[in-house]
Amino acid sequence: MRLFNRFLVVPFLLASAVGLAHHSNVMFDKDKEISLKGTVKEFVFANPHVSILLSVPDEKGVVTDWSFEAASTQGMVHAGWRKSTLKPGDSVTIVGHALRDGRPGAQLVRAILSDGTVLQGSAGGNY
Amino acid sequence: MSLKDTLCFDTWLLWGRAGSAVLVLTIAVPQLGAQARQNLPSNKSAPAEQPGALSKENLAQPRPKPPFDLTGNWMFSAALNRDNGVFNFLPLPKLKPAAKALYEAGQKAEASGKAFHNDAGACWPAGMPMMMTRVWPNQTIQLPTMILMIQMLKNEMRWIYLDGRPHADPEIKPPSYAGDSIGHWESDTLVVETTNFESKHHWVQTGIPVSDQFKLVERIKLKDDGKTMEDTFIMTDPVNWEGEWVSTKRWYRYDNSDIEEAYCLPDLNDRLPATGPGSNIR
Repeated sequence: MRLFNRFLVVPFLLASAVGLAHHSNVMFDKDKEISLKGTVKEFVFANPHVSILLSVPDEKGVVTDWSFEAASTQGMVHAGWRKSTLKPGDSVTIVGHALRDGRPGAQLVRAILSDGTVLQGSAGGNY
Repeated sequence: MSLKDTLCFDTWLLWGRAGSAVLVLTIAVPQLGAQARQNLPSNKSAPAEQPGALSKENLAQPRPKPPFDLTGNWMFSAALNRDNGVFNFLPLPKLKPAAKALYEAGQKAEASGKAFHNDAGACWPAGMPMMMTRVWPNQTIQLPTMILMIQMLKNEMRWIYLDGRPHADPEIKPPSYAGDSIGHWESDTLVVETTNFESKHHWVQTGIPVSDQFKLVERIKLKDDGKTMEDTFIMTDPVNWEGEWVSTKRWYRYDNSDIEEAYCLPDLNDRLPATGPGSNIR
């Protein structure tokens, strides 16, 4: 499986799909999006935030685990997500707002599943 | 009577006396204890029981019909709150020097991409008033005697008593993050006064703390044919700012939803990029 590792930084086109969480979200760079393709290590379908741990290899094959934070289960379900949407080993591309300090973490904006389905991070800009 | 018989008689006599003494003590000691408890000073006795907000007796009391019913799910909306700071309470009051320094440190931290004393993000209760400005449904149940609000996020609750009781005596009710809320109706407005706040890790918004002198008055109205709840927060805290801090917030009715469990769990929280180590300045 070819996993490409380079961050694809695309212009910021969409408003953040994730509203104010149970915490401040100033640590995310909302002015740009990164796109990462990798293998799901963990998909935690839980409140207050769904989270995904994604193993992303770089050009040299060095794997970094990226932590993505998403909306609540309700917000995700309204956007089409289900508990069974992802499982460990699945290949997925995730677009998000990365942490501004360079650590491997991001706020999930949308995901592109292996069959091409695009799922937004939440519906209607709410929780 | 032989010597042996005399000894035996005395032994029985002794056992009989000892048994009587035990019997007397068994009966008398609890009575003495009860007597001692009755003699305790009255200011240390249990408070007199009052009908709770859900007691049938209290609910059945005759009361004027309230001007509106807040029962429903209410969603905080950024779109409805653009003019008042959205998640913050604007306009700001004149902050006292220490609070101003803290607020400015918070602004500087956020500008650098770090949360500042993000206690609500670290599983401490957001409390009042912050719990009202989270983008999650707020489930509200209005009864004649009480309004219960449950913010889905972290399932934080507040109770607004409408049955005419006074504020609870702080001698018997400890400070809390939701505070002690007493409401009454004034024409088309629900007026709620809240006192007795816990100040530990409790913030109005980033960099502006809640002290134990914080007091909140809310003037709540139902607008737009019952589709919008509007709450004007009038906040005083002589430790942290001068005069009244006034800001109005709005929610839209979101009844096609139910809330669910959403506790802040330390193990999950530590792994989220926004709340894990490194994202928060203290």
